[in-house]
Amino acid sequence: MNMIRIKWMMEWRLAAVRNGMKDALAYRWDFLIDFFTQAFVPVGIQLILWHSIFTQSGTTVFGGMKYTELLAYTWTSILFSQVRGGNYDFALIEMIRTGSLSQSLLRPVGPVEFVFWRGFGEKIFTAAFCLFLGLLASYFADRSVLNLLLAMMLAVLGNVIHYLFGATLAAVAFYWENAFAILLVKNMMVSLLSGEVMPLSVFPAKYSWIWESTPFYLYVYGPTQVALGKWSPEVWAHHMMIGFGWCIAFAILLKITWSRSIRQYQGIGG
Amino acid sequence: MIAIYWDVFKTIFKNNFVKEFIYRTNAFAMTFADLIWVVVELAFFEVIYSNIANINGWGREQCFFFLGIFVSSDALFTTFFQRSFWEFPMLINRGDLDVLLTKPVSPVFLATMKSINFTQVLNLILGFWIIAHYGPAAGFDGGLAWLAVFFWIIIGLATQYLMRFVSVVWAFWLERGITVSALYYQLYALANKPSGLYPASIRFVIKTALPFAFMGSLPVLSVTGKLPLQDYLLVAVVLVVYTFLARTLWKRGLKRYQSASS
Repeated sequence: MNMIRIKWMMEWRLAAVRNGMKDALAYRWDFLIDFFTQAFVPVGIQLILWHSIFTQSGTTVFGGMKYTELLAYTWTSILFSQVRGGNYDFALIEMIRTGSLSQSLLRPVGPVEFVFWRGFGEKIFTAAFCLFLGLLASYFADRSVLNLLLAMMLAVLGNVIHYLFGATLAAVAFYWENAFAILLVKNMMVSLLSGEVMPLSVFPAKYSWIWESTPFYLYVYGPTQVALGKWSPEVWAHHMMIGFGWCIAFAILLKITWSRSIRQYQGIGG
Repeated sequence: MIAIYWDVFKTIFKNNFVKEFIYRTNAFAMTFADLIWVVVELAFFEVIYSNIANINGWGREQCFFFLGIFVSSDALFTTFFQRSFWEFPMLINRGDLDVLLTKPVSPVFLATMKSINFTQVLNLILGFWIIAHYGPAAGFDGGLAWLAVFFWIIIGLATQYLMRFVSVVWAFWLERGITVSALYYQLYALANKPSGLYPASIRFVIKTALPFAFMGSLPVLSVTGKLPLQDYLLVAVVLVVYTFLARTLWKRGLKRYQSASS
């Protein structure tokens, strides 16, 4: 009996991942354009900006970083900003708003977890491609493969934290009818505080407590530091522990918020 | 003719107002979210200028002044057009454009103005506040120069409308035109930084092929008296070319349109 149950638990999760992968590949051109625009256009703009700052202002150090260090950071951060990405939490608020959550509640799988695995399936190609690019780059740039793998693990943990946090916030949709705005605010804060726009070390010291007190730095800044060899495996382990701590905290919050909020649900929208 | 369009606009306005405030809390939260976007942009420049005093003649105050004009122009565009442009590819993919083609007013007018977003009002106010607050330090005299600011905000609005139109009209040819919209918004990051922060080649691109500079950079240079005369001519030429391109693509797209799932 237990074996059947375990098999079922594995099967539905794998099916959800497969479903997400199929959906991502249904429109192949869009998938490719999406990947290249999301990965390379913002980075291209950042690189242009760094180039301008150094060439047109005549400075040699910006926020304690040399030009080459900023370039290395920006290129490396692409790998992890793609892994951290994923707006599956928006699917949850849409389900609550439209009432389509009702169908999910009738199924023997949790809607929050189902949306995660399905979204993860969509992202898995991007993550695999990023890892491949990273391995290729580590060969030419003389970077440690171990560091890259450790960094990717941290980024995947960041992806999980990102979803748990988003799903917790999505519970607001049970009260507000539509919580699109709150997730939008979360994404804006994340884009600045995760380190995908610029290295967090260039923040003035008096503001560094802001990013240090959120888990967002584990999404991009942390993994990039690990991949570049600026964080030792010991520091990586320390931040992985912090990440797990955030995961547990958000998982508990998620449980509490959803179990309480779902009582508001009327099946015709939140 | 104008009266018909005015009546249609009033109806759209009323319908959208009701639709927006069905979800009142979300509407207020969206207003807050849009404000956060401006705060994030301000924070970005604050971090940059906490490390450096000046980039190619653009100091902290000039950058914030630029942001004020850009935010105002963007707030107007977002209010009247942004949602409609997001939905535009769906009109084509699902065949909903059929309905608009049968109406006695321009289908482009209906397709690009059917959804109004009321959550950007505070951004518009904030944009003007930023202009007023940082303008004097950036070389903006105020007074009659405000007319020039309004003029450039309208130019920025028209530019964004045309660029966005040219980016979404590809939905006639693509399976899911929403991807090109995503590409547009990735490139839009070029608009929210002053042109002086870019090298000469990029400055040329954002004044011609992708005229994002018309939304903030050129207006700042113009109202502070630093815009060369030939750039005024360039603005006119680029807008005319974009209008021609938009009209041509729309007409060709319509010929290709096969109703649902075209």
